[in-house]
Amino acid sequence: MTQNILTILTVGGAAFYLLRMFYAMWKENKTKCTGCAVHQLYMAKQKRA
Amino acid sequence: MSEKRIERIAIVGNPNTGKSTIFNWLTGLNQQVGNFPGVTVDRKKGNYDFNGQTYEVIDLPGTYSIFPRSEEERIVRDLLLNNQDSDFPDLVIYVADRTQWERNLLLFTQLYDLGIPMLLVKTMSDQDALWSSSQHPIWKDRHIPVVDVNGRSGEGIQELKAAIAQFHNAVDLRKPIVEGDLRELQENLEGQVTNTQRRYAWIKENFPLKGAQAKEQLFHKSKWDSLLIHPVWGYAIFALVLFVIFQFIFRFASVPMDFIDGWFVQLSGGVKEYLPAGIFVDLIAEGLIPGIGGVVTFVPQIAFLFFFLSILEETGYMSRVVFIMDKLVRPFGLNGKSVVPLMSSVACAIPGIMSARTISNGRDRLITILVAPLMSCSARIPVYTLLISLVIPEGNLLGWIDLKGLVLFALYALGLIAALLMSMVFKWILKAKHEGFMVMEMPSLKPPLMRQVGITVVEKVKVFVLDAGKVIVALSIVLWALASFGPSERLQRAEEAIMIKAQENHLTDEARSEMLTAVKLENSYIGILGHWIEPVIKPLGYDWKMGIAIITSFAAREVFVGSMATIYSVGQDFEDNSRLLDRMRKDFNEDLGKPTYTIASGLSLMVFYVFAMQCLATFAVVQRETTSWKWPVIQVIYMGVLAYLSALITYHLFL
Repeated sequence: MTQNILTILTVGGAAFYLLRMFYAMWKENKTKCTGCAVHQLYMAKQKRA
Repeated sequence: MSEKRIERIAIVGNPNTGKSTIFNWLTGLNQQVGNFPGVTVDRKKGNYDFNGQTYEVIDLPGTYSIFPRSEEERIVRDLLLNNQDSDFPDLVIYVADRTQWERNLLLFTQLYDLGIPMLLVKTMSDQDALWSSSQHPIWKDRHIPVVDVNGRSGEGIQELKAAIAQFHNAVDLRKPIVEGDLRELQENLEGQVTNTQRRYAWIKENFPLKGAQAKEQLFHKSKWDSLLIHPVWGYAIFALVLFVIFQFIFRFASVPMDFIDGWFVQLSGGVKEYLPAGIFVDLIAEGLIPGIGGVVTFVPQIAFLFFFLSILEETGYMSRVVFIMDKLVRPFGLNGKSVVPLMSSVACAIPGIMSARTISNGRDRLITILVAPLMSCSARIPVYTLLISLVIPEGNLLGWIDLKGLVLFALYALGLIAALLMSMVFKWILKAKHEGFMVMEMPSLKPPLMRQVGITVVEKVKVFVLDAGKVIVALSIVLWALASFGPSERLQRAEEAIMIKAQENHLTDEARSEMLTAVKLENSYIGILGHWIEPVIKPLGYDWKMGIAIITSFAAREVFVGSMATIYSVGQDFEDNSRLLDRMRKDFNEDLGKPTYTIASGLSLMVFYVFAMQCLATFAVVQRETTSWKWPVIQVIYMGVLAYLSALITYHLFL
């Protein structure tokens, strides 16, 4: 029982850590223009819309 | 005269003036390396105590002018023009090379006129006998304290600390060197040129160069340079240097690596033996410890590589390498500084990607990071050797070229060609507003400062273990969970079937246990995923077993061999691959009506491993180095697509 709880906590903690990190990076990057061709096409499309 | 307690200090100056040396002397190992927000430029911070007070020091990127031309210069400009910035310093230590006054003092005059509290540090003291150490009267008139520091011996550092502690801000007493507000000139190119010319005129007027000094500044080239940047000998010497470095990395780093690896294997075994059996103990022994081991194992390689790289940097040889290699690799969208990261990636992509930090051009650095894992690293060797032994027949070509050796060579060559071609593709995709060009300083050749080398090695290892390590361990735990759990009914049914089979065939306990491990993996979530992707990988000539091995080896390529050993029930304690090879050779693909491993499927799998980004640690390092999840994800996808298509073509070519 104790081992099960510890396993759930560890695996859950690891998954949560990765998701939280992913979210933080995504939030920081979403406003940043990378200047790449794909992004420029996207921006041009946004402008047209 | 306004007084403010000095707490935060920024070190500013042109590149190659010895800023980082001063930073290291001041802070020692009390450093943290991060990134400036949203960009991949190093932000080195540290602190030191002096007379009971703690000072925070930030080492800013090398800058020539307050009118920026690069990402690094923009960062410095944005910070120094914004006193609301959380990093805005109370005092700037302006580091200038005594042998390059004219160029080095331009930024100084700009910061002076911007009213930034400053202290001038003159470096390269020991190299230059021509310059008198007496202080120029102008500094006193302009209320600028001056300290001489010998970067090699650290002489003058205590005087610098004392000067910082006693610093009196005399900004209000300053008379401008050149009239006009520099903030207003940021968008005015013509104004910038005029302003800069007036500053150079001021420097020339106040610090006129005498004949010998002028000659020294203009023709700063040692007799060694005629050899090191020679069109033939330059490349030969570089090839020799690389050869020696790789010999050291492969031969000597493998000793501590094998020791660490063995120690972690023993630790896992010990945990399983001495702790009460259960799922959490399994997690520690099979997920957590191998995950941490997977991080620590790379430390010797990273330490060795950065030891050599920082020696090359410290001696000034690296700048010569960059100079001679630049024209060779520029057509591929890379720059001279990309060569060392790419070559290092043959040993391991992780230190290779980390060493790409020396590339100041953001786009060139990103391209180098994106293509570096295509270079065949040492983790691919176990996969290549297993598959070559499995499908490539014994024999020679032209009577003397070993066929197996030729295939191994072709796999390495394929990786290099793919890296160069993909660089060209990325060069086209990642269009730059202005085409990059290389402007670089050729620092003088000098013996390395071992203290600086040591600090660099410790700092790089720390960054890898603490930053990338956390992601690697977390991902290892998640992968372990996916390989250990599965739908309970399915697992139970499979286990019961094995028990019945074991009883019917009178299997030994060991054989039964190996079969149970194999069946558990097959019915775990990863195993189900392996079955699930079978229709996708079938056109490549693969079956679900290879699917499982491909998924599990995302953790690290060499896991492929271990996964195959589990799937084919030969256990993990095989001394060589002969038992595994025997089982794999006998495996028959019922759907195709022929052996699973043929030349076509074997070569297809090898090509897949040349291109696929099967390395969790590389993924984490790319995430860390680009401060983004986008680029590692793009990398996994592009390499995956490349691997799939190339494997598909290979399979059908050899079918």
